[in-house]
Amino acid sequence: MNELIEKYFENTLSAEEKVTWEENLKNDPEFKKEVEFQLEIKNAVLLAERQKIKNEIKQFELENFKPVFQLRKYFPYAAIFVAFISLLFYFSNQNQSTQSLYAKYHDPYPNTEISNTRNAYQKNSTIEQAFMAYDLNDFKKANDQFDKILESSNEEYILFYKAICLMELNQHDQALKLFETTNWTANYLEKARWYQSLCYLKTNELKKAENTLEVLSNKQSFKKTEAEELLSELKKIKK
Amino acid sequence: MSKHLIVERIKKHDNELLKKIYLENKLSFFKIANQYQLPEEVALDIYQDSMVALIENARKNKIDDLQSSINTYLIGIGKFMIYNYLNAQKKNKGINIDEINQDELLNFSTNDESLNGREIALKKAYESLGEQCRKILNLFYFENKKLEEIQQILRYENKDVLKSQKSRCISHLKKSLNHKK
Repeated sequence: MNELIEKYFENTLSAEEKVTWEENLKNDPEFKKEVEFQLEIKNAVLLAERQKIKNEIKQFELENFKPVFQLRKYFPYAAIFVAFISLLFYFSNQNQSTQSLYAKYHDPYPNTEISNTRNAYQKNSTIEQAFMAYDLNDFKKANDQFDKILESSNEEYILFYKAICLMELNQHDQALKLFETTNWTANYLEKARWYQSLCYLKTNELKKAENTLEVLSNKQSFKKTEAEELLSELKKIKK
Repeated sequence: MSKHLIVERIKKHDNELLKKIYLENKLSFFKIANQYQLPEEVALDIYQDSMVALIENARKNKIDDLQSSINTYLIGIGKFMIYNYLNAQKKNKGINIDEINQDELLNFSTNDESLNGREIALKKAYESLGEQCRKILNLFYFENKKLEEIQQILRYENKDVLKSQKSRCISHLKKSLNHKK
């Protein structure tokens, strides 16, 4: 019976075999059941393979955004420039601007995920390399490594730390995309909202910043005090 | 690069080439999608599905004798899929498609919704099978290869070893399904 079913899927049934095939389907319930089962396998395999290909194609779309990232080599200079200008601004202007509020409250989230004390098991894993770079404030390298990891996984903590890297690289729009589109669990939700608020300061979306900060200050949450402070300073500026 | 070589390289999962094809044709596809006022996410999804269909057909040896260029073929699939989509939305204004085998693409889907409950369970079971099983089942059920071809591709010494391996893979799937119940 197996031979016949194999030939059916190979599309190599002879005319005679086709007759036997039809008869078996009519008269042999076991045979019919097996054929139906294998047709279901075929559908399952077909879809699994299609989805696998599609995921590979979706990567093209993501990779295609990378040329923008090549600007990165100018980021160290840009960062120094921005820091200089914002310092100037800070001292020359008693009225705190949103940018200096950002500078005041912003601090990259410490790595609490991967201990970088020597670990014989995964010394060279991409994850470890990523967090090593992160700890050393090499956010460009960390960001590249997180991208690599994200090609094969969708772990929330990787997305979170990648977003922080993007902020450090001054790509607040990109960071916001991650903060806004990820479905954060309780582990990261409040932290994400805090950094999301800071990004809004950078992109000058003050209304949005206020909204997220209000949510944070209403809860017994991560950075509750800071959120309250920042919220009131923000309101001052708006007046 | 000759058309033949392109098809061969698609079969060999040449990612660089696939990416090039994907990016090169995206704009032309979106121009067409725009004419039918498809929302951007829908258009992107259809375009990616068209690309999946192109790769699938290449692996199934269905476009070995392709008359048109790969780009024309891909856009052709894309047009047909737009037509399918509009048909489902009942906004079809009629699209002219050449050289696409319409029957095959009519029920093309990359969504779990196209499967029944047992098939979804089977898909999960298939994805967690060992690599060898996945290779065999992929070649047999997805690429529609004959056992003899699979024997050559995976270098089995004889067909019977391959056959019994394949039945073991299938019974794995069967067991996982019974487990679920």
